[in-house]
Amino acid sequence: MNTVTQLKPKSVSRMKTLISKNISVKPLNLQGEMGATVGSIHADNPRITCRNVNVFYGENHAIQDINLDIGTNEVISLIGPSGCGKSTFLRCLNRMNDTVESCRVNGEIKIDNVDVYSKHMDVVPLRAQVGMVFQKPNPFPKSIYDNIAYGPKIHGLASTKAELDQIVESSLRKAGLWDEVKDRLHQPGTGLSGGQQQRLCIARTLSVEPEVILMDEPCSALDPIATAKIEQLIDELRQRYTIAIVTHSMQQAARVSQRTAYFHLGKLIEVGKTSDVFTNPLHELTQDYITGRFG
Amino acid sequence: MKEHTVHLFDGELSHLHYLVLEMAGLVIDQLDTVMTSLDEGEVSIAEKVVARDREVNEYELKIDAEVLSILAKRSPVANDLRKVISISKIVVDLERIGDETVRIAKLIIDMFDPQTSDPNPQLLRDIVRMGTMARGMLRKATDAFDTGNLDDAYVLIRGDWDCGQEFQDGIRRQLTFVLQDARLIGRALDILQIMKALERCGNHCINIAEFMIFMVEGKDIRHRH
Repeated sequence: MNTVTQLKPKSVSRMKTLISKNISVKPLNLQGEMGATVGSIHADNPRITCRNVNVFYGENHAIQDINLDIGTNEVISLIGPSGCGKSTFLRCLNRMNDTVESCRVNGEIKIDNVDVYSKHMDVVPLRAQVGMVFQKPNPFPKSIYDNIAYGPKIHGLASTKAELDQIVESSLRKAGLWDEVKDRLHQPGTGLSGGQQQRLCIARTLSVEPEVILMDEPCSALDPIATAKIEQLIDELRQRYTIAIVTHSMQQAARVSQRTAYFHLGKLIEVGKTSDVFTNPLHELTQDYITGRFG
Repeated sequence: MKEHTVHLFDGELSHLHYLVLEMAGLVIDQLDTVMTSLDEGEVSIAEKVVARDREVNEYELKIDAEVLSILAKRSPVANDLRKVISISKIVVDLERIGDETVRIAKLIIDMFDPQTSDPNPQLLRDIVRMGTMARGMLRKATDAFDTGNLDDAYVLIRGDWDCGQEFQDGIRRQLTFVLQDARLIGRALDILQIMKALERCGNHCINIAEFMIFMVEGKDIRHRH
């Protein structure tokens, strides 16, 4: 942890300015240890609130004391070097880490004021409420139609074929895929291009009426055109959903999100408005990482 | 400052930095030379200033091309982005200072036309005073850019050198000369134009200082002081 040092004097003066304006910023511990997160962890109209979240994989303390709000209709980017804990944190939000036997999570994560880690929480509806899109498109080996229809069927969201048809169409429309696949709904989803498959996966997530969408490097396997379509889609989906996206592309984070959170060695170093983080980051570590002076 | 993982990017940024320094050096020399031509009443020196303006313009084009290339290739962010954007703005101010020196040079060529009598040295005192100030400001701005030392930039922002006030005082003095001898009106107008050009040079130096503060501290203080 000795690489995580202190703020530059200029950053300290900026911090003092922010503090004097009563903006919520916790000062760093300047003794050499990494202190609290820099920037405001709070969001307007928060949908997700995380307090003192710690994750352990066996003895490995993977993420440490994360405090972060994610706002309704907000896209937040989680950035940081490989192994910094951003994906682990993302997976905590819909308890995907439960599938890892050695994983232990403590702290508090609430979505719409409901404790995600409550003993009474049923993870099946939770994962419908908090959908997830992965790095590699992973359509089911079924038809395009069945990829979308599967979720609503098992969650009992449609009682008739007509209702199911309606959900399939509206989900594909929301994902911007309808016009491209409407004439081949019964062909295999795996026959689509990579970008189309990823939008199919997003449509599949949307079909079960989520409130939050988690995206773990959703464009890393896609070409620039498919990436642009997904980014356009993210912006459209923001009107209805809360979105957290893990990305290794700084430019993508800058383009798609309203807030950005920088993770380093399992800690949340800085969080703030994306425009601020990418033009005038408060923490030296953030600056080093986003400008490519890392490692 | 730490190096970028991609060392080529460091090379490109430092190349850009040195191009700006070279351009600033050339503009400083233009301003010095034009003041020398005034001091010596030597038209041929002023003509050199006019001819060399092309080099200043070429630097502007070269630096703009570098800026575009870095933006396209590196997509800079944070302090790198601020540096590239600030440089693209600073270069405009340097080029404008170059234009002002040419304006002054042309007026000097007119004033010291061998067909007419040389201007009364008393009338020229205000120009000399403002010229010294503008040269000092340009050196400070260039030093601030080179070293990143904001003390120099803040000296300019604080208005320790007030070209505007000097210009106002100069107008008053020139009016006094004209009131005493109406035949001096033509000369006085030339001198006022030179003083105005020097005042603009001072303002461009303040702009450069503002961009320096943005570049180093991320604070945009334009129109706020």
